[in-house]
Amino acid sequence: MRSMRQDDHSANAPAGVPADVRIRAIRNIAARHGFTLFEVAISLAIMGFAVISVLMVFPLGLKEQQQARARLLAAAKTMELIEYFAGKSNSERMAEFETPEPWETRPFSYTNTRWDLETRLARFDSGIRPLPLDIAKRLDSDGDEIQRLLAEGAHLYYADAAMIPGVDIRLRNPSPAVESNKIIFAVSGYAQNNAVPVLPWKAWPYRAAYPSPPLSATFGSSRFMPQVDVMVPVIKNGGNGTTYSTQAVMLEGWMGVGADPALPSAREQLMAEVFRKAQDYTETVNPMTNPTSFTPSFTPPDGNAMSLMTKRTALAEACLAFAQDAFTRAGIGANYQTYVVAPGITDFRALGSQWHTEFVQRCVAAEAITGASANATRETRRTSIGLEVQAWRFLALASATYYLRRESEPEPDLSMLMMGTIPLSTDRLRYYNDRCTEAAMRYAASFPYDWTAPRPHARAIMMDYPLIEFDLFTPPRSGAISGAGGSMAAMWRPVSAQRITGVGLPGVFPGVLEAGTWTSSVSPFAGTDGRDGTHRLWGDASHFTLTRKFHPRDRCRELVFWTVDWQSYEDAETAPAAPLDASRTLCHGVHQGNRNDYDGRLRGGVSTEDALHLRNPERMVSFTRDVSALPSGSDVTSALMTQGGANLGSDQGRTGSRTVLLGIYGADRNRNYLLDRGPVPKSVRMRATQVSRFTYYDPRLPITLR
Amino acid sequence: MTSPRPLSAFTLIELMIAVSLGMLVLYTAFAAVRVATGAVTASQRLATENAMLRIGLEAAVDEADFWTGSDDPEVGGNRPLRGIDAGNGAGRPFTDFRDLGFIDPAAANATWNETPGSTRRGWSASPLAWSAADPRTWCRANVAEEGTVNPGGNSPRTFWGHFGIYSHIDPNRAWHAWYPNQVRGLIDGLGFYGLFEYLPSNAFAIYHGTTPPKGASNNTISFGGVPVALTDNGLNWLCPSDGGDNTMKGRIRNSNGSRYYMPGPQAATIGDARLLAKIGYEGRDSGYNASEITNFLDRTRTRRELMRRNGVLTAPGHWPEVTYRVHRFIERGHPVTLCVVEMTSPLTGAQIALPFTTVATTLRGARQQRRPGDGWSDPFSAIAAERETLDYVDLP
Repeated sequence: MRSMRQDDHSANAPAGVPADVRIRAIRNIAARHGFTLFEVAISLAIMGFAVISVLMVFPLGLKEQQQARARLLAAAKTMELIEYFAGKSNSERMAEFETPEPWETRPFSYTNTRWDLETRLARFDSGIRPLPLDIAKRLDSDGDEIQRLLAEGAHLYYADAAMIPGVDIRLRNPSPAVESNKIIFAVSGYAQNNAVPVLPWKAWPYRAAYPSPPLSATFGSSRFMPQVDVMVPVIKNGGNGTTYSTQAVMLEGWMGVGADPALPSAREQLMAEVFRKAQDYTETVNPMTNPTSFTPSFTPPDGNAMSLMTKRTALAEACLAFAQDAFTRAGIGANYQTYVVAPGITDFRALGSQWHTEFVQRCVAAEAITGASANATRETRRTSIGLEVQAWRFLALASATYYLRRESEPEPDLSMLMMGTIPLSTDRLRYYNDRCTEAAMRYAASFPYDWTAPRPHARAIMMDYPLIEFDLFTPPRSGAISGAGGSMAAMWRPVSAQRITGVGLPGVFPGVLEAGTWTSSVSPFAGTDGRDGTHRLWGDASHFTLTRKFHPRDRCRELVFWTVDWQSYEDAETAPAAPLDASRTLCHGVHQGNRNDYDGRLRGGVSTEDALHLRNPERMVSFTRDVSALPSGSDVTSALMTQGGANLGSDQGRTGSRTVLLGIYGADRNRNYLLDRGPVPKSVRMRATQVSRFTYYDPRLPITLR
Repeated sequence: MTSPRPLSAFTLIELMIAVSLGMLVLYTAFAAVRVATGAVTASQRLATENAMLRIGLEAAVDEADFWTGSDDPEVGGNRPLRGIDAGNGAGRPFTDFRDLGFIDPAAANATWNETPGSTRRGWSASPLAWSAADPRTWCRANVAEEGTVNPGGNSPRTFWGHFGIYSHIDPNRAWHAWYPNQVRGLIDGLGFYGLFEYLPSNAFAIYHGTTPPKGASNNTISFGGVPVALTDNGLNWLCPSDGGDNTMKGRIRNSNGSRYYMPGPQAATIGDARLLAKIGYEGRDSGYNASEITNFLDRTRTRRELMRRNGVLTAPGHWPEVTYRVHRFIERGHPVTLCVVEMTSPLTGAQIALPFTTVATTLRGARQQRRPGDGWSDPFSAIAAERETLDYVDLP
């Protein structure tokens, strides 16, 4: 058929034209007559391809809108995360404790208390949870950023859309949340070596009311007792007149001079006497019930049932003795006569102004020698001022006890009363109270590195916290964990901005615990801190960096958001939780009874509200048992710990009872109480699309925006 | 013989193939159009939803910044949280401190001192007013004093004396009167949420005096001279019924298991500014009372329907409808501004929500945005009256 057409058209070709040209001409003529079927098919195919290509652009628009939605959600989530990170109260009740060694007791660890966004926010009450590592490793991203971050030790996080960090889950919105399960995020940029929120050995600042008796704590028989037992029985807690189950132990009074730590045996005996008399006075019946006579409801341990007034006088005499001694030791013995005894004074306000001038001069002089290096003169001056503060504190305490009245009763006539040899008046009491308060406030503001006197309750500010960080460039300390079969642990050494004076002893563990052996005659702070890292506890002060100059970029990290449908994986809910830092394990405080049973110490015993920063961040949705055999869509409510489906042991770190702690059976990660399995097999890799990046300020100190 | 006439049409096979191809192309194109149409529709719907969510988010953040839902300073604006209760003289969160007589009468540049009998005991917005170094800002109450009237047992702890001689709301009773008057003035003026927002984080909410706060649930003064209403856990007034420690406390301790909330405009009663909500402790997923939560959300809600005016829909009916609500409260010492943008599908009526918290203007900041009466304060105005706020007469 094709040749016949060519023949027909060649018949009309001009003569003398070469045959090949004639054939092309014939073909051209034929083309003008119409397309061949093949050409039509090709054309249609091309057109179809073009049309379909154009039409396929429309889903791209849809995808772009999905990305826009993701950007919106990421922006809202970022506002929320930053607000929570910056605005949340920095009080963490169970993070402020003491331990004989960081590895011995309730988990104090740099890694679970550091002031970094991901550490602060990835907690079980926030809904911010690490993506299972098994799944995270299957995700590709631009520049392979996700895998790089994972290799550096970071986590990817997903957020429970129904939870709002910092807000009780019960106040969550009753409407279903906007679908945000595809959004994951990570913190990019290296964390800094932050300040230590609390020195593990001594949770300074200790706080006290001003005025107040010496700080104390009750020690039962299971506690590690201090060497010199400045303690009195707590009679109201039960006893038979000879033995008592609970002892009140003074937590102050190891006042060495300067920066040399006091020996545990070097208790201030005059302060101890104040403590004993104050305890004795408090253990009386309510003075307002019968202020003129005392009918003891118990037999004091010494069998000497004194009257209330006698007890008050004894307290006053102890306070005066301490004050006179403290003024003398501080080198201002004459001031005791001028400002404490103050004979013949009627204008106590003027006297107060005079004292104020001299006290400020002493404070300034104590700081005249500046610098971070050790200086014995400066350090001695500091502790001297601390002594004076304590003196005013106890004087104000004792004098206040003379003004006992009910609000509705006439004022007592103090002119008939004497405190020691000092005649009393209402103005004198006010004067003592003012000196006590002012001395404490000025001292606390001026000397954060002197721990001779506790910080005033009524003035709790960030400057009360000395700057302490861990020394990452000196080999860490290490030791055997008590009751752990010789297992060793290690922790960096602390370094402070200045050498700490009047460090005293820890209140809770006033001694040293080494591999289960308690030694009360040794202080953890013992030994001269040469600031060179050779001290048994402190690191090398030249490695201290918190006060160094820094570039803004050093304080910047990034929140990076991606979208990826990770919940389509078949194991989205059965994959084990991301690895948990061991420091987030619950742990009992160490005491006499459990020091040889570390596994037993891992039984938890810390209530929920007290340990929000511990435990598995997926705790709220973790499965307590293996649900992998259940068909998809099964109701898994009974497998959730928070629904009462498990015993508390699953949340603990003890051997054989840590399924929820480690999240080994996965979690109901979309919180629909059903077991979900996606269609995507584990062998398939997914690509995460970057949504947005946000730079934020990363502080090195625990700070709160208000 | 004439040669056969050239073919002028497709053969049947060609036609069938052509038709098949054509149908295939048409079907493909049709399917593509359908997909594209669906994509366009979905895209448009998603774009509209995104726009609505974005508008809702911006409006919610705007409300978090400017508080106009709670107090609209524009002429004729709704301001239900101002004024004074005729019954007991207590104020509301947006009550002008001048109406309460609780404002520092000194000039803006006056220096502070605490001379006996000083009249400077009202609120000053000066950044130096609450300087931690200033003796007048130091609480001098006895932390161990229990504010119960029960004379038996361990209470009241008056072993340590009557601290009303050191600090008292009456300047004739003590050397220090500023701190107690600040506490009293803030409770009377703003209620609990305002009290704990204005007081420094570390402050104790206590004073010695002979009279209780306005609107107190208990008018008793303790043996030691503190209003029992400020310390007694059992009263459920300032202190939550938690712990049984009837002693003075501050913001963090008192909001550990409870919340102090900013009342929404729809719940503007005097009592409401002095209520707290006790809704459990920790983030557990069970064991709470749903009605308490509903009440809490109702009381704290500042809500706006963005697409309605006086209840009438003003946007196309096929658009998703968006509203926002903002709740403000203090939880565990943390002032929270919780925003919830809610969107309702016009087709199904289904609702989705975008809840989030954000850094926002404090009540103190909001009060200092507003002039007494109508209008926004302008700190840069040359006219003194335009620089006034609800907190101060002129710039501190």
